[in-house]
Amino acid sequence: MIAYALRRLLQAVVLLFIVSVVTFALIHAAPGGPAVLANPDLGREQIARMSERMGLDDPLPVQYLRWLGNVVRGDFGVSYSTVEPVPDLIWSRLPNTLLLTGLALVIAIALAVPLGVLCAIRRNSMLDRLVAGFTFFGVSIPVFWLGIVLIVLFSVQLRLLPGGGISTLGEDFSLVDRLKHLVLPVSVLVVGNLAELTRYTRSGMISVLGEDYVRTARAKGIEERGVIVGHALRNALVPVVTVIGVLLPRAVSGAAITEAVFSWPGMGRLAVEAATTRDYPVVLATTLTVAVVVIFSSLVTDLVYGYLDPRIRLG
Amino acid sequence: MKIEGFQAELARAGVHVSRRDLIRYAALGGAAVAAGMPSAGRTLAAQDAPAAQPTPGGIWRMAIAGNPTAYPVTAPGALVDLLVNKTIYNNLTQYKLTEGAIEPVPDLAESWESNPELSQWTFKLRPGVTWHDGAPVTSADVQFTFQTLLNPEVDASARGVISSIDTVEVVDDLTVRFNLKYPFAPLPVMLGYNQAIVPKHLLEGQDLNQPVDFLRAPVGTGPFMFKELSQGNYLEVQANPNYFGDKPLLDGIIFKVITDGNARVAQIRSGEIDLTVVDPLQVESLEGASGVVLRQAPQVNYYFFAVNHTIPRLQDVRVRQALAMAINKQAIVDTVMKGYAQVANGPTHPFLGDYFNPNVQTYEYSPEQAAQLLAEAGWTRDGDVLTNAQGERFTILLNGPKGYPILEQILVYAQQEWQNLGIEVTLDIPEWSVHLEEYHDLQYDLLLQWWVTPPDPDLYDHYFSESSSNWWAYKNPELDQLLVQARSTPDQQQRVQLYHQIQELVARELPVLYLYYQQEIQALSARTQGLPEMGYRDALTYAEQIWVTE
Repeated sequence: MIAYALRRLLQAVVLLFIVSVVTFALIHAAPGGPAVLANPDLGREQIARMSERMGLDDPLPVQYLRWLGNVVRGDFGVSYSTVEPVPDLIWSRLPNTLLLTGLALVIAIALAVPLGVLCAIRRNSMLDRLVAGFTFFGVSIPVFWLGIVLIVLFSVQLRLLPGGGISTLGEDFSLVDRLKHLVLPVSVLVVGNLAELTRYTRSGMISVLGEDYVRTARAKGIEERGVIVGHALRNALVPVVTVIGVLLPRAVSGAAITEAVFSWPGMGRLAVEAATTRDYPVVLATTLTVAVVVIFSSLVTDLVYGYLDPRIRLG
Repeated sequence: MKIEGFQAELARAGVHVSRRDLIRYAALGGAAVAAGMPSAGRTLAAQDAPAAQPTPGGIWRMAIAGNPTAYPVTAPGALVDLLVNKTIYNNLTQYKLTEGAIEPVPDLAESWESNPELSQWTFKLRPGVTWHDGAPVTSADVQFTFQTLLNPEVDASARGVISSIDTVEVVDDLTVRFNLKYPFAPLPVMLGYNQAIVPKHLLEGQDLNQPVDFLRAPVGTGPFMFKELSQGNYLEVQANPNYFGDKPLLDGIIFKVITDGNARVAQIRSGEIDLTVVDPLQVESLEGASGVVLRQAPQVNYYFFAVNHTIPRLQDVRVRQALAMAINKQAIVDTVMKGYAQVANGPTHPFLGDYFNPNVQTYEYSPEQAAQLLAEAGWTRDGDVLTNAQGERFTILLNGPKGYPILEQILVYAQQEWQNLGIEVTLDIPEWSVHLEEYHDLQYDLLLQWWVTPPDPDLYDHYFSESSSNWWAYKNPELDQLLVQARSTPDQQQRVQLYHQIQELVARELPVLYLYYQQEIQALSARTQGLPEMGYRDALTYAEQIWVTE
């Protein structure tokens, strides 16, 4: 187990290196340079001097090695756009995103698993069809549309909930206030996640319910509830865990569109804004942060597989 | 804004209105009406008559579209930085419109004088002013600020405005002297245009391009003091109890970062913010909304098609005039801009009063005359194709920024009109930073852009042949000579004459194809009071006057 974890760690370092090289190459291959240089109020010579001073005129490998050397020493640089140290930027955004997307994911799981199980047991029932209809709605509806509709309804018309931000401006922090601000964006995210997770739980459950050991359990005279929860569910969750393993990094990289619609100061917006303004140090750092989480969550996913299904051996 | 000033300005423009009308117009956004804004049927609600007595206290919240950096020297976030900095810092001067002329008035400087040649200016600072940390403001701060702005190693963003300054010397604690490279009459106005004074004692010795520590708690002299920056969320400032001017009425101002345009509209409607600027396409969804007041304000700007003067076929003035005639500017103003603009025939905004020359050559919409001018220039029509004697086809690579619905409509409209003349028009609409890179590298034939300019008719930065911000590679010795002469002429009346001449020249020569002056449309909460009726860039200079009714 420890040897396995160590091996994965080593792989992770190599992977991170590759991710950084690819990201670096990609952002420099994209047309256009940093937005701070594309300012018509600066003169031609001034732009040339800035570009030189920022080291953007050096060959790409030189620029990459300089960046890598700094990162190894713990210096992730300063944002071109806001003159803030990059780690400060990420640490100020990451908790907001984790709160938003984490809560949405937990709620989605808590609803999706029982819902998926129910649908699998009562296949083609009224409930199943209703849920199928809802999941279809959930995966096809554009987030920016749903977000604006909810804002218009609950903030503008009914004035029940705030339409954006993470707190009421000018007031001290309060839990109730924070929860109020979470309701709409979390709802939008839950709709999307819920659709996906319900479908996976349902199909996982259906295939497991046809297995021999389920029939055996039933034949032994175990009551239906025991069969479902004790025997079938655990196995049916393997594909669901895979999906969660995919959703988890997505939760960290943020939900850029939801964050923009609800003015939520999270990682998604940070990453998108950095990409559009070609804020190289921030783009690299956000990508690496997400890469670390992807690697970590796939490790955890693998460990959970082993727990859910002992036939899956690690090592 | 002074009613009398408008009356005079309108009279000059040939519009005669009563004083009562003027009061009504001023509430609608002033100068726009003077140049024939369609006000009937599209009347923006005038702000309620202000309550008699301003009440102090309360927080006022306005939307900004990006993440602010409260550092006036580099202002990497451009407009959003500028808005925030207005409340935290002061310039040496500020300006106001009096009788149609832009007049500089004291800010940190209480008085100033120049030598007769206008090449040396001495400013006396207001005594007893302190930084937000309590340290006194002295002439050394002023010297430090301008040395920083002019330092080639510092990425100062508004250097063009003060490029006339050669050296800055400290005369005594409260007296500072500017020695100019050449006589420059509008220096006091220019010093009021985004040239905030920064504290020497906190910035000296720091990395002046990235003063990371200073930006954790920026210090200025303004009516509001930096309180908190919540990254990507908001920047909050609080009232400065020791402000040298009128004490601020508000307890604080919060600049809320809302990057999504629809979200800004939704949040002004839900009462979560007190001010946002909207575009003409968004007005409809705000008209009649309860608790929201719409008003418009003139902003000194102009929109244009930049012309790449390194392209031989565009060097012929007849070709540029033909291209201008093929565009129906009034239709753009009425249909695309929904009336929130006025047709521009040159770079000088009517808001500049005396300096504005209304009698220049105009290019009325006429595809027939356009075709005729092109024929005179050697471009003849062969079926649907416009070619010259060598059989080359007339093509235009037309560039504009992506993500601006209004500008995209104009680009597509212009493409249509020019194609009707037989020109092959290729649209290139890349994202913002690519668009600007192509602009700066002259990788376009025509390109849609705009300038927001200081309230002064000086065009040197953008039109002088050797100026580094002349992005169109436009060279005209006659214009160069006039530009230099006009900016260094001490006599006001002579200056006005010279700028009228300059406007006639550019209207004839068309260095760029002028389109329109855009009005700023402000959506305000009904509780907002005391925000001066001008563009928000300028209105925030008077942030201490804003107050709210609860």
